[in-house]
Amino acid sequence: MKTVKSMENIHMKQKMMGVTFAIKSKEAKDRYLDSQFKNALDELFADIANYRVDVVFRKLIMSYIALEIAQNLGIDYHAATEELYYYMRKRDEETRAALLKLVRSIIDRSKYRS
Amino acid sequence: MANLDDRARSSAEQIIRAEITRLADNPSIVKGNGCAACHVLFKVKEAMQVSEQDAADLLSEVLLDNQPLNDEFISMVEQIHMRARMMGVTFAIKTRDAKDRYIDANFKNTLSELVSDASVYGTEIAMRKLVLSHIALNIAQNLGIDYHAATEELYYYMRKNDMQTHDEMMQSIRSLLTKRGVEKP
Repeated sequence: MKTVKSMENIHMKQKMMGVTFAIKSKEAKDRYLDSQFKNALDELFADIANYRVDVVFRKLIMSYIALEIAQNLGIDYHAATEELYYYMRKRDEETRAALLKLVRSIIDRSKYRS
Repeated sequence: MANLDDRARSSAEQIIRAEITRLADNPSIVKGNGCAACHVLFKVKEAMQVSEQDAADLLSEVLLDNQPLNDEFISMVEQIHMRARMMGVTFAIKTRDAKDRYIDANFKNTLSELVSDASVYGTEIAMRKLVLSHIALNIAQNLGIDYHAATEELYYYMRKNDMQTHDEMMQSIRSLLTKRGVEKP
């Protein structure tokens, strides 16, 4: 509790980011996070039901790579996503094959694979 | 996906080109910390009266087919998101080839790390990492906070509801891993 309070103080109140969240009661924050957690999982379930599994994996992996680029370069997530898309458009076939290979490799290693 | 006939593509291309030129001439059109790429995307959506998804498809298809326009687009994004905001300037001032090599290394390293995680720790751990990062990113975007703070908020919530969140997470991962139908190479 102390850790998350000091984190909120430094990352939100002092930096004036997400202040409307920071000033909520802990119960309200928990309810907000609970709905975010459940919504994100529900969206993934909907994606799994509606699209092929590689499409859902692709979404997760690309968001993960863009996040890594943003952290490594110290740029915002939108700019990192655009840099990644630019690179992938230039090497469309190669990057598509690399992503598919990873998806296949993860699925093949799964214990749920019959 | 949108029915991308030639006429729609051609009008989208004109709109995108005009908007890139307009933003290059006057970057202050994108207010505060707004996103330049999203600005172009919404311009296509408004001008062509299509859904956000169709506008995104059009933008992606047009840039995929037109390399010079793709170059202009990324230059404009770098100008607004990096140079003007003094973020990632050491990357922004590199040559395009050096930038491409950097992104290439990041892309390949991340894929290798995920394969390595899946083989050393198991697929569920690699998947958990991906799903958690996706949720933390959603929280960061929705709250307008940084990714570190969003991750800590998520961990705090998950520690409080350990068993419940673990079960929900595993159910989602199981669905992903048991679903059939991966695109043929």
